[in-house]
Amino acid sequence: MGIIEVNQLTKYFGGVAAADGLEFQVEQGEILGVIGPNGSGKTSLFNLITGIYKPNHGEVIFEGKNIAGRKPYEILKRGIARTFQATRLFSEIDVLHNVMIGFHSRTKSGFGGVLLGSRSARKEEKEVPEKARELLHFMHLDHVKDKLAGNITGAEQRRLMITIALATDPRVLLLDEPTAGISMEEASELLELIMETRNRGMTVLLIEHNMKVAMGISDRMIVLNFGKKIAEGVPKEIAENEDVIEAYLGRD
Amino acid sequence: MAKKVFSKKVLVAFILFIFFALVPFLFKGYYLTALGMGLFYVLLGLSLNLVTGFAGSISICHGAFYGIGAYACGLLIVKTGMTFWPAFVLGTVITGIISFLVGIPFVRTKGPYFAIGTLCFGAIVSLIILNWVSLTGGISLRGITSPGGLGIVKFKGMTNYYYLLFAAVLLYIYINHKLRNSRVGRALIAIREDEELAECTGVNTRWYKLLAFSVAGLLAGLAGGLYAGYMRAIDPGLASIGHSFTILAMLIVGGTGTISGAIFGPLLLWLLPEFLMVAEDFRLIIYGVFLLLVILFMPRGIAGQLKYSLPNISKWIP
Repeated sequence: MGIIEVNQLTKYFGGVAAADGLEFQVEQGEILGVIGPNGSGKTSLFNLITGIYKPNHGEVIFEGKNIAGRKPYEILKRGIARTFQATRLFSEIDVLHNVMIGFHSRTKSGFGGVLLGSRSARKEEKEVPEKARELLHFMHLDHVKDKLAGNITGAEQRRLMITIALATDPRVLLLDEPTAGISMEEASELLELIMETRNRGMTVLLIEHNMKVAMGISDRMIVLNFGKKIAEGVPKEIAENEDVIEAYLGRD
Repeated sequence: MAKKVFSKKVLVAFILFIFFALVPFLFKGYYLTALGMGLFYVLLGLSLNLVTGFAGSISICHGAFYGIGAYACGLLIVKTGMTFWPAFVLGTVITGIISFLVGIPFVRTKGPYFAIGTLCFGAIVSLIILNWVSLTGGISLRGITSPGGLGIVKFKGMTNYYYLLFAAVLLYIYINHKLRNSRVGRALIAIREDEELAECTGVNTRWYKLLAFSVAGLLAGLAGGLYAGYMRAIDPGLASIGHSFTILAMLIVGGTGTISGAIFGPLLLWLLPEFLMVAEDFRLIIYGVFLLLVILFMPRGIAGQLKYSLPNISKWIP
């Protein structure tokens, strides 16, 4: 049984299917590559899993419970974090505080505790910046921690997005084209970090546009086209799959 | 380094504290009253800052909560014969409950929809206060008793009342400061920056917006109660849309999301026309010009822009 099981997941926008009866499993601890031509429903799949879209039909079973249609913050709290395709950060706040926001779901202090300065709230206020600094160190971002998130380089912003997601302490990480818009060198550094988080026990779903990169990093892959899954398997099988080649290159 | 920055801010804050604590000794008569009245707007600016500054939701019914607080306190005194303090506490709580209930539908909306929703609520409140003559007395409610005293401290005239307001300002600053540097404040600021991203980062956005909105409403109600006790006669203008816009303009000019902006924006826009001795009609023009200049040249507000553009100066801004 996989950590995530997607059953008959369907989402329509008007007459267009963003997801059309999707079925697949994500195994604990694997990197599952999600590929497909533009508009094939990769990001929609992530939006469905993380609660941004509510499916018309179908289930997303995470650790035995159906999470389809739940609110994003509830799904995050259960342990699924994501990044976005376009860089998306709290750009007018400094890098350290961006990561500290990531700790929201793992901390508890509320309005009353904060105002009265309760012991647990004070303890959290001490711990959270420390943990955030540790995480920034792991992601090679210490040197920019006091800069505004909007003022750091594109590659650093990409890493910061993942850092925020990691701060939520997820068991599954959904990365939507993490290497989009950065140089090959920076991208390979980022992919190494992704491999390292996986080696620490994280399960990763990865949308990747560059086929070579996707083949190189994924343990298994699924291929989408027009909201349907057209292939599933290890990278070698995918590379040789006729339907996949056709979807990407078209028919003669 | 970090410690030094901290101490500069504390130094400036301390000097300001001493200055404002000594105001009743430095100024008398008209100037004292003008400054004291300005503190009501500081209270409104600081409370609106929670929802508009931190959570980034533009609320155009802050005057309505101010009016509800004033009328709740005033009516309890006039109609039930309560003394000031219990009426004040009860009025504040009532305002908090109303803002919580009203907030429930509003926090489902974002951006301009939130602003328009709150605007409509503000309009409804001021119309009810104006037209429910049998309850509110229509164009004015008179006969409210002043606080008198609290223990041995007497609140008679602006000299003493000033300290009551000053204490409230310190409380509001404390709330702003504590929240800003906490898990709750970070959640609110995350909502302001990108609501969807905040939700995907684990923030229950509706709950936190509701929290900010209702606490802001409650604190506006508290300020309204103090106003009723000081003026002893109140009118529906307190809750009018124009008044709500004025409060919002004061906060925007000062700088949303900053504590110093929420204090000095209201003071500046209140005192400037007051000290220039221009007729009431020109006040709006001055607001308009100020607002325009600030939006064009300092989109983060005066304090916000100083902090952003001049990092050296920002070390001195508390």
